[in-house]
Amino acid sequence: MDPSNSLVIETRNLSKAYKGVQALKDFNLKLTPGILGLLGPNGAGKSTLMRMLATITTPTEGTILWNGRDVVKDPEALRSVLGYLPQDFGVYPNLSAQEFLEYMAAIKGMSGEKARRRISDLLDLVNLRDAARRPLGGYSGGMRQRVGIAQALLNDPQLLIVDEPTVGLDPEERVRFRNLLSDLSGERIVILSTHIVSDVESTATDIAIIHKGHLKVRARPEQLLKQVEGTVWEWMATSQELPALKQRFLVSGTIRRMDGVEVRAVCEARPCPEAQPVTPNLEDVYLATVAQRQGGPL
Amino acid sequence: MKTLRVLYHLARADFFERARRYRFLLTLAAVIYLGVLVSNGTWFLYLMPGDLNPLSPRYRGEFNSAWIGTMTVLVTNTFLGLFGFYLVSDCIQRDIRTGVGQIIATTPVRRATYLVGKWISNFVVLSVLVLILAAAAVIMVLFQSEAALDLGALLMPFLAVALPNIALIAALAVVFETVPWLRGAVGNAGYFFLWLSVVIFSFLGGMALPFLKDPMGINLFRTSLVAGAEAAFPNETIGWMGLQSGIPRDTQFRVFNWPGLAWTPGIVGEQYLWAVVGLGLILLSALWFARFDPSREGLRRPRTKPGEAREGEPAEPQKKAPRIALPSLSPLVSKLAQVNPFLGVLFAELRMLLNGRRWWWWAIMIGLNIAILSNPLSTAKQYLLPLAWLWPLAIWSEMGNRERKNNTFQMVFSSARPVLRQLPAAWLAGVLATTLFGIAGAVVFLSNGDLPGLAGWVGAVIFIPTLALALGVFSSGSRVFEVVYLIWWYIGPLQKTPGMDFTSGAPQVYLLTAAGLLLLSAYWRGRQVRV
Repeated sequence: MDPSNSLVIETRNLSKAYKGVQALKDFNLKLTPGILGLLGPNGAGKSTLMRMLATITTPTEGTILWNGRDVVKDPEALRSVLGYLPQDFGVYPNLSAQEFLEYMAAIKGMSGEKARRRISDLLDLVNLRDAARRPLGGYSGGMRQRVGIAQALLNDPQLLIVDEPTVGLDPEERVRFRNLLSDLSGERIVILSTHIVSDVESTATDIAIIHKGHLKVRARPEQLLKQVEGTVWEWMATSQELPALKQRFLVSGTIRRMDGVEVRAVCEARPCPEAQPVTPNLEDVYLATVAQRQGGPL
Repeated sequence: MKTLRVLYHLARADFFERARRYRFLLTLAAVIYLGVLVSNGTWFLYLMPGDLNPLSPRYRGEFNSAWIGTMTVLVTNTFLGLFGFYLVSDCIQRDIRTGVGQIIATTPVRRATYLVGKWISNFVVLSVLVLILAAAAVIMVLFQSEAALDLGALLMPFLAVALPNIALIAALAVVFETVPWLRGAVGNAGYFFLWLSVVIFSFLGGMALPFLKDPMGINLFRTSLVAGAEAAFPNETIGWMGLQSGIPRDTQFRVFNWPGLAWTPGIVGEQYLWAVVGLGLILLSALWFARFDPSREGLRRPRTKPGEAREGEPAEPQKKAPRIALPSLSPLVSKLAQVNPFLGVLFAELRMLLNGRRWWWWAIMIGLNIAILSNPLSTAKQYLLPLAWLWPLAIWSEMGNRERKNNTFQMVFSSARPVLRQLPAAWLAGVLATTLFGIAGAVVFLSNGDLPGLAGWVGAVIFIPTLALALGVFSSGSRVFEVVYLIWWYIGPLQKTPGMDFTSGAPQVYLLTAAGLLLLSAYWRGRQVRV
């Protein structure tokens, strides 16, 4: 039997309050191997959720179960199989990537020989072989991000939590990382939080949208796309009309053309006679969902 | 075995991270210089009769390995006891600041293991410094000794006294970083007074418990040294040991032979008990260690304004954001700034300096001022004003380095006139705030017609924030000011040492110094802005 089949992480009535401010409220989620794309506006509670899943922060109420074991009471049950890439993380600038990864491997409890082999493989994987002996202080933002990705994968985690992992990566590295995530997802649970909807679009097998500490939507991408089918429109407008259109409709994109501005909007009814229905994407879904919750145009 | 490997890697990475910094080289240079000061007799160990009469004879041991080793260890323990603590007490804060901590928090490493790893790293850093001083002692024996080199006698004080002492300092550094209310200026000031108390009580002979002598070894060595001197001069009573700099070269000493302490496992064990105490304190402090959980007290970033969402926390419930056109944004320039751009910056700097204090902080500040007004002038000058010149330490220590601390330097330094407008505004804000903190002093000096006192008060009001700004700009941190100012405050305003007391005597010297520091700060900030 494939051991990955038994992997389950589940939150039950998870709540977190910071000095009276409710960051997350009665949050229920059950995940099995695959990639969950976590979307939500700033302050929605994504980072709080991920910190709790990563055993950094304890919930005010509720439980987190890893394969049936309560990791709030026993975080060690999860930590040895956990990989975490925080949104804002730093490195020791005077250590090389090799030394930093050796350090992280040790505190993750990996043995010397196993760690060395794994570090070598990961340095190739994140394309840092040539820079491995240079001090991290001289690395670019993208290179540091790749070091962060490597440390998250050090212990071959069964649960991988990555917060804004592609920030600072150039397009080529971003594609590389997306592919890597897709390859990894078959045998582990990956939680990917990002504002870059295209990252989620290309990798996630499941999508959850959080808003004001609540889980609003949890579905497969194709289900979500189906929900907004027939409500996304495109038409040409003038630059002068644009401010008024933004007031009236949920504009999800604009492109300047020679003959004006191509407007893309989410709207139940045809917004104007010249508007044509187009195939929705996840950005439309996301905007529509968040706007609905805020009492927006949809 | 697994725990040992984790400890090794924790300590190794932390040590390399510190040892490869430019600052560490400066520290090594400072320690080598200290070794030179001991070697050339600038710092000197001697004995005196207990009456402390300056005309009484002074005694010293023959310059043999035991005497030189002991003297170097006492200087080492005294200096590293203070500066060593401030040197190493940043290892956990660095993990919080860099964000490495939140990755560590997700690993199986235990709180106690992590803290002990940091302790070992601190210990290794301080050991390097002790090693350098031990090498300096060997050189001193080779060049100045009145007897042959005896490595055992020379190094035993290092092994038996200096190492457990730095183990304790390394542990205290971890403890002060772990317990939230001991972090920052409060902890730095608290440790200074702890160190001062230990040094004073040890030299006075009051720091000896049944099983624990003082960690610096002062009592331990004094007993043996006094016994040696009294054996050599049986008709004389010797009871005081001094460690002093700047003894005149022509000072006559009565020399006696001291072969060193008769080391026994009991003596060594007693000293190493301090290392055990340190370990115990670390394990105890693990109870407070938040394991980088941002939601637990002490690890939070500075408060944000209402409605401003902090990372990881929800925004205040808000109504649907109105879609507004750009022209309706709030005006770029405040009314004050419209009158004079400098005034706008000054007001903002003043607000940042004074904001964020709790009510009890202000209550104590106001209470001190009321006490200054309601007590006799002599009491106010002797005790209350010095206290008023210490209480705002945490406010002054933010000057000149707030931009680096809060990572706003790229925005601030790229704004209009960061050197000619923002820096003078920050300085003037500091001066105004200091005026406010000690305003009662000016009132009592004026009402009593004490013009020299008033001149000293002006000296303090100008000098303190200037020193804070300058050291904040030079070091890009708050600790250098905190340490320098605490020592200066103790020697000067509290002990009234002539020349060091910037609140009396010759304020013009301090005003000139302040002007020089301000110019240097502007020059240095100019370099920071351009880099």
